Amino acid sequence: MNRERSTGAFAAFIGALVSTLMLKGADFGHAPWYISRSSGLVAYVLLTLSVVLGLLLSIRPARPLLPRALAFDLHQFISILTLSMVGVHVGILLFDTYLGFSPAEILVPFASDSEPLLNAIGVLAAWSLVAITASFWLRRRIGQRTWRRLHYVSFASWLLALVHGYAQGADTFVPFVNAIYVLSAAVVAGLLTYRIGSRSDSRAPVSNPPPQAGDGNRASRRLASRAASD
Amino acid sequence: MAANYTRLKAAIAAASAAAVVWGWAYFDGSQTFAEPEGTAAAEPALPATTPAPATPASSAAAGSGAPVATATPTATPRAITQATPARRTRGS
Repeated sequence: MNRERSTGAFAAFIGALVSTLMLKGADFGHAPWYISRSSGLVAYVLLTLSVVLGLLLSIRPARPLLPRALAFDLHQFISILTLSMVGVHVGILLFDTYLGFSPAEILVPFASDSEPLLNAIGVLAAWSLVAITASFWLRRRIGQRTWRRLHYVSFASWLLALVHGYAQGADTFVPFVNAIYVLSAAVVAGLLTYRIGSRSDSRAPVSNPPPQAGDGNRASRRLASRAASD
Repeated sequence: MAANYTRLKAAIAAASAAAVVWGWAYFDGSQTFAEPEGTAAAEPALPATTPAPATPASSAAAGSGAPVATATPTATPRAITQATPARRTRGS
């Protein structure tokens, strides 16, 4: 079964590659530019949904509202969908004959001569999304702790996507697009603040226990060994 | 429960695809590209009822031997007004 799936995926990849090469020389007018813009916006909305769902999963008051296994699966599904949309957003630019992006320009940060910083921010956001989404399958191999740390990168990724979209997007000042950016930033910032606040509240008494003589914890052992060396 | 959940995932995927198509149509309808200077767009567009300009190439060129630029009779106002924008003028 796995072998059949791998063969199918490989065939699809080869088919997509051949189609891309065949269509590369064709002129699609402005269509690739419009599709890139709309898929970029949809990718940003999906990324925000995924981040919000991830935050809700980690906030205690929201837990009873979400069946944990299903919510986690949905979070993963939306992440994959986000990555697919990013693939469309980036891949379709290869067919845009006006901007004329090369594969290197859309894959390598600072390789583009058109607005290099903002493009690089977008490229970095996309690559960090690839890493985070891939980590869903590498969770057992890399361990829960590393996976969790890597997952924190998703906030940076979301922020990079916001900056890329807001500063470089041709549609930022279209009212509904502007509303999307403002609303998403407010929701994520609010949830993140709540999450950090609630975490520090719940951890404060545990994470900073006063070291006492004879206590067997690591902090007291470290203090004891330092005192001995002094 | 599982069936509803599968439907929810399908709905999200379908809504995303629909949003991309809607965005494409929306941007296509609202886009105005800046026209680079010196292109055909600077010339007034031909009214739709104006017949295509005849090309007297055969009579003008006859005897002189000079090359004569020939107008394309199939050029429409739409083709003229949608000239290729300069690389950095894209966007609105």
